[in-house]
Amino acid sequence: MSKYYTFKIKRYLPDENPSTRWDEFRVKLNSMERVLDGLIKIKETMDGTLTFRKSCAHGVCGSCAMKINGQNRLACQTLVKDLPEIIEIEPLPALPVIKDLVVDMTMFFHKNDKVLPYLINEEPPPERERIQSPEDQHKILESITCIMCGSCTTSCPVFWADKEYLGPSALLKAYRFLFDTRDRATEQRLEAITGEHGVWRCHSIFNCVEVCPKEIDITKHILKLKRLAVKKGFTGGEK
Amino acid sequence: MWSWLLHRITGVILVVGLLYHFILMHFMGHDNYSYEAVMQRLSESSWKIFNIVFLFSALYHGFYGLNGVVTEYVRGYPKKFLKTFLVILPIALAFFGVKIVLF
Amino acid sequence: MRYRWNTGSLAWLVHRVTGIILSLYLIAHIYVLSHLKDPVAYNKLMAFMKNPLLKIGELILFAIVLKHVFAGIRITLLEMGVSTKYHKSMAYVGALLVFIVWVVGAFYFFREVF
Repeated sequence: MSKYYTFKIKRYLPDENPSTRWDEFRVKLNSMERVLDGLIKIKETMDGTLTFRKSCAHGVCGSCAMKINGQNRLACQTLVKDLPEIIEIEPLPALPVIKDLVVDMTMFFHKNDKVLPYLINEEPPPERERIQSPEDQHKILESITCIMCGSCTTSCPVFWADKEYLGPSALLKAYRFLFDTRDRATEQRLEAITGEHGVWRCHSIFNCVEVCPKEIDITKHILKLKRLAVKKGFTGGEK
Repeated sequence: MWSWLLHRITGVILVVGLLYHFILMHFMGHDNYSYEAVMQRLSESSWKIFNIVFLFSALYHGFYGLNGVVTEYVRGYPKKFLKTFLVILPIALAFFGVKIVLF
Repeated sequence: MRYRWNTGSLAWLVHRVTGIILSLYLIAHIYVLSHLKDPVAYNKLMAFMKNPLLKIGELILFAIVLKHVFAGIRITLLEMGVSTKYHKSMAYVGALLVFIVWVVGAFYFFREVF
């Protein structure tokens, strides 16, 4: 069941040309193959200059997130048979493009740093590990599955306009530690997310939920963060 | 946090207030919004309280929203200017509104 | 930039645009009303508002208010803890309610005109 697909790829080769252009490639793929297989075929047999990130190719590393037919997805998790014959591929939106489909993720990871993405607990550690019951783990299970591919944050219309907004990915990370029963830095964490460009900028648009390759209901987590912040009666840096 | 929460609370107040406002001023016939009827209502203190709460809720809710839009879409010097403007304007409007309700 | 629209993002866009329109209307509304403390000016404005074009304008404004109200109720319910899995159905039900209330409201609006 092989079929020809047209890959329309947004190219940006700053060494050749400072402007972007669209290139078209005709690729024969079978129904079990994915967009990533198409890209690899193009790079190996048609145009070696085509540049994109990939690593595990099994939806675990999060390297190959890109905009496919107008929506962010992992190229390794999108079967071509689910797409129309013309497949439009662009880099992730709203981040600076380095080359072709490769974007500069510095801004994205910097947001992650802002929410203190590590366990904070000053209490002396017990003899063995800090125990977490299965029930306690269940509270953060969904948020732990995040692979930080950047699909959610770059799909968020608030982030498109406000580059300082923490974004769904970093807020999910904040949730992961705020609701971790072993963590003790609740106030510090709430202070980090309740600023002018923090959790209150989320308008429950659900674009992040639509694109998450791990099917995490990110908005649900952000709504819980808002309720927690209200419950703690914490005053953010807002007006 | 409090500013955000107040935005939600004023939103709920506005839903109730608007229901009243629309039924009275638009659906119940002309007698309810003739000059005499409006002035009669404005002389009652319960209506004064309703109008003041309604006015301040609407102003807060609207200008919090606009402030959010400016936070997200405007940068640099225009942002500072607009943010100040969005504080002064509702205060001025509150002054106009209170003047007509109370005096 | 082109990006696929979803129920949630459309709901957000409509909520934001109606919100901005209503805020601008609020400014004009308060300013105009605050200059109507005498019966002559008041009745003059009321006679002016009888213009059918302005009646249509009022109906459009009514629709905008309703849309903003029901979208706001949806957001508030989500924030109060209603499950996010209902967010799309809530948006559709809200839009339906807007239409129903608008039609009923428009009936009373016009009954008053004639």
